[in-house]
Amino acid sequence: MRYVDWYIRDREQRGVPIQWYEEPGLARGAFSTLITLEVKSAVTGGVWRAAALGDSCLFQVRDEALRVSFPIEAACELSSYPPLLPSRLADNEALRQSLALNEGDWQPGDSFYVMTDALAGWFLAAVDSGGSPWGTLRDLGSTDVIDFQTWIDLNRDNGCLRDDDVTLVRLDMY
Amino acid sequence: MYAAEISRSNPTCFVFLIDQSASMQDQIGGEAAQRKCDVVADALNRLLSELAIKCAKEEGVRDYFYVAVIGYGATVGPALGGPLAARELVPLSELASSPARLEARTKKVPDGAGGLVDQEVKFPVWVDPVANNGTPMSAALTQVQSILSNWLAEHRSCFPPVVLNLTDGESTDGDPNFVGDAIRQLASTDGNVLLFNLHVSADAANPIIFPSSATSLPNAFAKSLFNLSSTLPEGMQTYARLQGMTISEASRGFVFNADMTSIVQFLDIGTRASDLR
Repeated sequence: MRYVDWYIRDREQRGVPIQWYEEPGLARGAFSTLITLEVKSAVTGGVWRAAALGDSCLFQVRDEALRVSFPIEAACELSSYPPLLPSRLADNEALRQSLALNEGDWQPGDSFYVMTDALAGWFLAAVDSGGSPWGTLRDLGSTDVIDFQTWIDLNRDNGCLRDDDVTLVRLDMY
Repeated sequence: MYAAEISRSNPTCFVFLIDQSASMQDQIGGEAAQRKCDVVADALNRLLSELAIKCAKEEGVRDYFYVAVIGYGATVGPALGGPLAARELVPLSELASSPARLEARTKKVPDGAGGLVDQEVKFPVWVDPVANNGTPMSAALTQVQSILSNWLAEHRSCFPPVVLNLTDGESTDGDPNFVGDAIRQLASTDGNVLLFNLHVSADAANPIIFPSSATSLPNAFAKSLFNLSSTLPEGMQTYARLQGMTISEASRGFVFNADMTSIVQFLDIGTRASDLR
């Protein structure tokens, strides 16, 4: 059974059937950004490869400096119209043309930060104004600072972070 | 300007004005033989439907917008039918859950093999066609001015409210430009209220979408409604160009015998796929 058919039946069984305003969305399918990061080890450090569709971002930090910003390099490049990966029948050629690729090396001590667009917008704006946003994100795991959810709420409230879903993955390399 | 985020904590409002005067019984120009009142009622139901679909999430429709529909003809006042009759500003979630009725319509969709098949879709109806009496457009705009003044007093930093007037333009209670100017002067901290017009005309001229000057417009009513209309803000211009429309910096929120459902898509409430749909 296709997921969408299972979902429609499940909603009916739960007594919350699909409403008229949900039908076009179901027909259109879902859309998502995609970012992949592949890391390979050598004797010391190694290489990485990344692919991105849309505006989820990868940042590589080395020695307290931003080394790679991919696929977006400045906050002003973020828009409301990114290319996205569709859940329904795809136009593969358009997908291929929108896919950005990148690669590089890594050394022990490097960190990778992978994040969705709202947080990437905050990150890049901080870099643009000379800040070190990776330090803020790194500290969020510590016991003596506020937790991630509180930090997100705070920054949404003060307008520094767009009110959108947020995903963050931090990778410390050894 | 025109950059405020439209969210549940900072919603904006959308006011629709629908001409219900006797002249709306006449047929629209062009090939399709339709009464103007049928065209505008259909366009309005479609716009309301698009707005709800745009804001639909799994848990229901989010109140990014509050919506009012004001009719003008024999009387001037709230024009939603069914359970929302006599209501002025309604949260979008309530609008979505309370149409007067749901009609079954047929839509052509791709069959996946290069052809088209008929698919039945539900079409919500909030407003039925009405056509009698004069065209008190100025009185209707005055009512809108009052609704928006109250809204803006409580929502000072919202994305500027949008007013869409669906009419044949034949105002019978004076020049609507005076109160139209006053409406366009109303503002939130994010910009002035946007006043747009959808003109249905018996004139068989070609449809015109978002023109940048009045010179090519086919009659005096179209020119008057063009003058009443706001210039499209930059963000909306960008989106319209992405849709393949020919737009200049002077393009106004005015269409002549054409569809304006696209303005719902102009309102930025989250991420849209740029080119993969």
